[in-house]
Amino acid sequence: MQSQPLIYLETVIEALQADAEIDIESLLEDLYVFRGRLEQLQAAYDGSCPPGAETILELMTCGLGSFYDAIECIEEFCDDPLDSYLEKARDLARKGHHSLTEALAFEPGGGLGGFYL
Amino acid sequence: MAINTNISGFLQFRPGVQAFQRVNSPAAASSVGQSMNSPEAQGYIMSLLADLSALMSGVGVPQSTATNGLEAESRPAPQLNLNQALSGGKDNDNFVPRLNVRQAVSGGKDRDSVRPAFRQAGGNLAMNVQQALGLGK
Repeated sequence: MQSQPLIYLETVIEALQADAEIDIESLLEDLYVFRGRLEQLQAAYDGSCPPGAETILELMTCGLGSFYDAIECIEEFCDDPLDSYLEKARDLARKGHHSLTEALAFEPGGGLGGFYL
Repeated sequence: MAINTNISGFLQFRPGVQAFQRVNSPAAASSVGQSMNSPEAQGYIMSLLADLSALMSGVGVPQSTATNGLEAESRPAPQLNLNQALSGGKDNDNFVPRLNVRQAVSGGKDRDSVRPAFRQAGGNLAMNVQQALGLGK
């Protein structure tokens, strides 16, 4: 399974690092939509988490937080094009990807073997 | 359990994203180990996994029982087409990217003399998307 939005995010970062002329507003719009949906999903599950299921919710929330921060770094780069913003965005995107990958690999019994990215 | 529990170090919760109470005592951890196998926890985890999987694969709006209270998303799933985005929506076959993102961000003007108002544009864009999703005011 492909983590399309996160792979997309990394592709955006690579394009920015390569100094490519891109329609960045269009790219960011897609990222905003995905972030909004992830936020919706987190909020929907946040209020009904039973004992024993906190870990997966925490992983999803962590992924969402990293995604927020990565997009913020890209916005910072647009204000002030320093490579350090992109490096930070890349790290955050990878952290978010890692968290969501772990969430998708989670099994109710506590092991791995569920959904993989 | 092969789950990385060392994730709180970089957790930064945003408004609307609540922090979670972590279980630290051995007695409580044992209790969680038992409750993780409860039918309620298993059903919750499987439902969340299905919705997250659908979201990550770009299938579309989660439709589990947990999201029944949310408005249906009318907008189609994002079409992640980097090639088209790179060409500004033009036919990609004849497009060769010009490597100048700084000029693009400044609207074609010289970057040194024009500071782009991108943050404001991005903010408005985010607000519009949030409104479309029913998340904004």
